[in-house]
Amino acid sequence: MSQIILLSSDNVEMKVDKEVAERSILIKNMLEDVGETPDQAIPIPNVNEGVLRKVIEWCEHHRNDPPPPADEDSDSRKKSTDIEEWDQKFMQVDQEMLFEIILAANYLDIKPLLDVGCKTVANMIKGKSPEEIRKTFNIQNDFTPEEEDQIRRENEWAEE
Amino acid sequence: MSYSKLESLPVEISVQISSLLKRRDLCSLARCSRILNAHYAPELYSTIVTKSDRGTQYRALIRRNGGFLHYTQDVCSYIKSLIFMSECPRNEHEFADETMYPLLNRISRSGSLRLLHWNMTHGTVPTCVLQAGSFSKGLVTLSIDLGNPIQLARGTYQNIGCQSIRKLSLRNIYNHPKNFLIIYNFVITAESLSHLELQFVPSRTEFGALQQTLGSEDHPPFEDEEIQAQFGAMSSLRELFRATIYAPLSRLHRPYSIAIQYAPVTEDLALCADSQKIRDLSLRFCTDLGETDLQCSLQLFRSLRPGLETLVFISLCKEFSLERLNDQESRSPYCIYADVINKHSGSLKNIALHESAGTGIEREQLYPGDSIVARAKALLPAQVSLSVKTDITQAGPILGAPALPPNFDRRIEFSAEDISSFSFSTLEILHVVPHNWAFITEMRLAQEYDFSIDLLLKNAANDLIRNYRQFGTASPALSYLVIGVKGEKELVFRVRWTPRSDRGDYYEWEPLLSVENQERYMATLQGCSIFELYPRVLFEPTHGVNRPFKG
Repeated sequence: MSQIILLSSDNVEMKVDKEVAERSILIKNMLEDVGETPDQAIPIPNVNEGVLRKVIEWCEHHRNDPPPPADEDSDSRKKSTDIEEWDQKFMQVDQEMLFEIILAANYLDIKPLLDVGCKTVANMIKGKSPEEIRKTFNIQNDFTPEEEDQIRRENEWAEE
Repeated sequence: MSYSKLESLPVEISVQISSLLKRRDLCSLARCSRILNAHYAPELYSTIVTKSDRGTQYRALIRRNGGFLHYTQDVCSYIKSLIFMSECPRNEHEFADETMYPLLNRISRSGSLRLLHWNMTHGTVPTCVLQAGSFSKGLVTLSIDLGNPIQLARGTYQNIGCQSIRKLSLRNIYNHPKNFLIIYNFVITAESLSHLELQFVPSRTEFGALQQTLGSEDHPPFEDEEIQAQFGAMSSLRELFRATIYAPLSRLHRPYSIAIQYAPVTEDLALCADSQKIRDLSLRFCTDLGETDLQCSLQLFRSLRPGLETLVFISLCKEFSLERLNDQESRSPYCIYADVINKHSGSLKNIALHESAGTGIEREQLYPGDSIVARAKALLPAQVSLSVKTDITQAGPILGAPALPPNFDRRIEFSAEDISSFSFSTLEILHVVPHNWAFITEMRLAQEYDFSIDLLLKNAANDLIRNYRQFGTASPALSYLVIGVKGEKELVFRVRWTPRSDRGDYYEWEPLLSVENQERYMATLQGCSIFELYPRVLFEPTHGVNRPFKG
């Protein structure tokens, strides 16, 4: 099976099966443009070694998954926040890494991984008060009391 | 100042996360910080739906969750869809107008509003809602229950209309002169109109019925002074329809999609439908069909070019019969229908052709002397959703009422008789949605009635399927039956067929129903594009005039 080399932003080379790397639509398109398996490493400038390894680990595990449905807005994909058990464990990382994986999935155009990342974040938000969300994600409240009061009043209907 | 990782996400990822959250969670998120508010408030406020499941009147609705009426200009700029669904009785008209006007005014200044639904039954539509199109320049979809306009002051409906509207749906239209002027003003100003839906209320359209529906009115709408001043003297409701709807429509628009209900079909209608581009044509409960008009309708069907996706033609005309048409035509209307089905078999998704006073069109009439099942399978759509509105007084059970009516499970009046038998020969999935089953979803009642609802749905499925008998050598295609209220409560039945008896070349098939894992199948069934495209009325039941089913 042919392999390609990916070069992380911190200049670490990683050999990956072409089939695995092609879970990334970005890489797949690049390889198609080149026309043949390149000898040189493909630079992935926005993703460091640690994150790239995690992304490759996910792609390895899901290498045989069917491609995601073409209809991006399909309700089932959009609304459900259920995550497979393996993916749940995979996403048990610190927040820094979680968001890095999401950004990498977005950059590399790996929609199923991006879905899992967004679902993980959504599950961390669900059922929490604003104060609890701030605490979870280390967010600083920069509203004045008056602004906060105005927003709370505007949102009242949605909280019923 | 450093931001958290959540705040630093690109907008497209924030949007994806927001799509996974319920409104309440989105609300909490938008209240965390300025930057999260900027990311998530547009999503939170993009669609405002104000509704009541239990017939709350407008004033009570406003009292309960009317905070949105006081939105700031900033928040108003996020609102793309504004939907009101409740009841608005007559005496609330002015209150509704007063409360809605400031909100619509603020939204219109932002120019963001794309969709406005005013589905408030029973009342008079607020003037500001009628005028919303004229001051919301980007409005694309406008859907209004016009209701009884008797409280609308003269002149308030003259300066309405919107150039940008592409989809216009006016429902619950009484045959009142003011409503005709409203329709006319909308039609002549909507330069980009591509979808038009006009649902008139059923009435005999003549003197007595008009008095009954409008109370204080004592003259037919075509005799109205304002109408006559604008359109000249006329002598019938048909002429009024022609002057205010069909003539401007044919002159200005020719939309892709036309759905008209309880209206006379005149020869002008053919001019409204551009045979080259029309995709959906639905003429339901057509009244006043003279022979010329009927011929004209059939002529229209024949002239439709390939690409048609929906064809619904349901006539209230009792005299519509094969013999009468045969006097005029060498071919029966059923042959014309068959031609239409043949011609559009590649694109047709929904077809319903019935005379409501009759028994529906049988396969035998469509394909006389041929291999009926085989041909029908090749020609008719594989998935059809049947939307049945049961009549409260005759059939529709209201679940969650203090006491369920005795034998409620036997009172549901939809059966295979209501479905043209040929549809069953090709159906793989049948989706039955009885509209006026009211389900109470409060926790304390949910458990109590859950069993009853399931039982009711099971009985409904049994009734429906038991009445169906198909004769043929191939087993029926129907393998899923979905019954219930879409999005509220649905049961999925797997249907298996066994031959009951050997009748030479034909079997009589017996259905075996089993309730299947709902979640497992609903994902598949709801993914059917046909449900997304036509969520409301997809197949018309055949029924007599005393059983007013409608979608």
